[in-house]
Amino acid sequence: MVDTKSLMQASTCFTMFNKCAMDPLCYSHIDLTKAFKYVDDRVLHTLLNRSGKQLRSLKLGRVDAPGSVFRSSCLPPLIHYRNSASRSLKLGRDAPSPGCFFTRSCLDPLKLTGNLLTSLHIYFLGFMNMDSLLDSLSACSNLTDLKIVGVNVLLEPILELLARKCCLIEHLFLDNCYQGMITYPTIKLFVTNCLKITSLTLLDFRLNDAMAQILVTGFRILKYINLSNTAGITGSFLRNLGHRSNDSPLQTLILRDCFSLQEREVVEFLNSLIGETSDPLDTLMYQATTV
Amino acid sequence: MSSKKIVLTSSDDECFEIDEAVARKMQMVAHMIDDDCADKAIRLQNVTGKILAIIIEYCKKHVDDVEAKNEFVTWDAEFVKNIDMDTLFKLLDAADYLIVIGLKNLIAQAIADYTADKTVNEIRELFNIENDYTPEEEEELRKKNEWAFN
Repeated sequence: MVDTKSLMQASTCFTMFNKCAMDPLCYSHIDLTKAFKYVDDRVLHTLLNRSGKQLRSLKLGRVDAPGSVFRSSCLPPLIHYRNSASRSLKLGRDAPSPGCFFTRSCLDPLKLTGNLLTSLHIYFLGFMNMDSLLDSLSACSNLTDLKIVGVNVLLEPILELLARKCCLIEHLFLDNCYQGMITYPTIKLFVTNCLKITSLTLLDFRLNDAMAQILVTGFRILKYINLSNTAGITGSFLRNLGHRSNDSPLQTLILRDCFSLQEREVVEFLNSLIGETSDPLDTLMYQATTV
Repeated sequence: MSSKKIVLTSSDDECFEIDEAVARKMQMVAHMIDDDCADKAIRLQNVTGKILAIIIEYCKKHVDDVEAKNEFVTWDAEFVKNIDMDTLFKLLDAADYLIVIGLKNLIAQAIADYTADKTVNEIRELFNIENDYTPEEEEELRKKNEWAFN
């Protein structure tokens, strides 16, 4: 399997490769991250059509885009919900994301081709139409791996949708570059319904300790959790975790750049781990920001 | 506990005595064992000793890998890393013939990885491919997939 750009190059070598490249199986894993500068909705639509019923994974966008560009963006947030056209017009045209020619509804074809999709990674597509994204994800009921980085959308509706429509999700990576809020009911619904989560990364979310505790202790088979850049946690949620670490399959806990994290809480947590006869937690990473 | 030994003979008469469990990782050999040919040395007419040695090395490593697939990702990557292209193609043929599916997939992916980020002409050179497109056909194809040629 090669990325889709390389597939197109290979198909131009001689006619037999071109015949091979017409097989829908060649498009079961569409990876356009190496062609981010030139692909657009039309290209994506063509490739999704070629995949027919074989589509299993899709990667879009620019993997190595400098995140700081978006973090320091002064663009006004623009969320397209239904009946918000007037607001959209009022704010005017968005500046396009650097090197990205996808429209905000570029994932619409997944409504027809996404039902067997298991993996979706989207990187730095900038602003996307929220309804369009939710409708597309809604069609991907077999999704087990979702990664959204550098996309200016509210992530709470996505968590809620995963809980309602994509319960098979196992690996979730969400980078909250839009800085949206997340609420207790959504977290509880997510934890209750997405029982197969083994790997969870929620970057830059505004979680408090109670929310973190629900996430860390709520998934029965969670092995990896990364809550870096979470401003609201002091670390008190670690108390409960420390006392039940023997029962937990958790192996990796990452809390980098959580600037409210209290060193005292971390020390007590580590002490409680040392006191256990076994130590299932293989990796604990925190980087307290000291003033 | 004594383990049964199987002797495999390559096309150039090189002999390898290996555990039956290792030999069974090659499905074709497993079929021959089950067909009660196991008393004799099994001759593999289409596989040279050099290639067979590499395949046996892979099968020994993966003899117990039914469950723990992820453990071998790093080993597999190292295994194919220093194999030259010519040997990779011979391994691919042999893995297909002997029905060693994991190795076949690994080798195929290694060959495919060589094509990543290469131009059309570089791929032709790599695989010694003769271009059978007319200039017009090739131009049309490049234009059709213009996004991949920028």
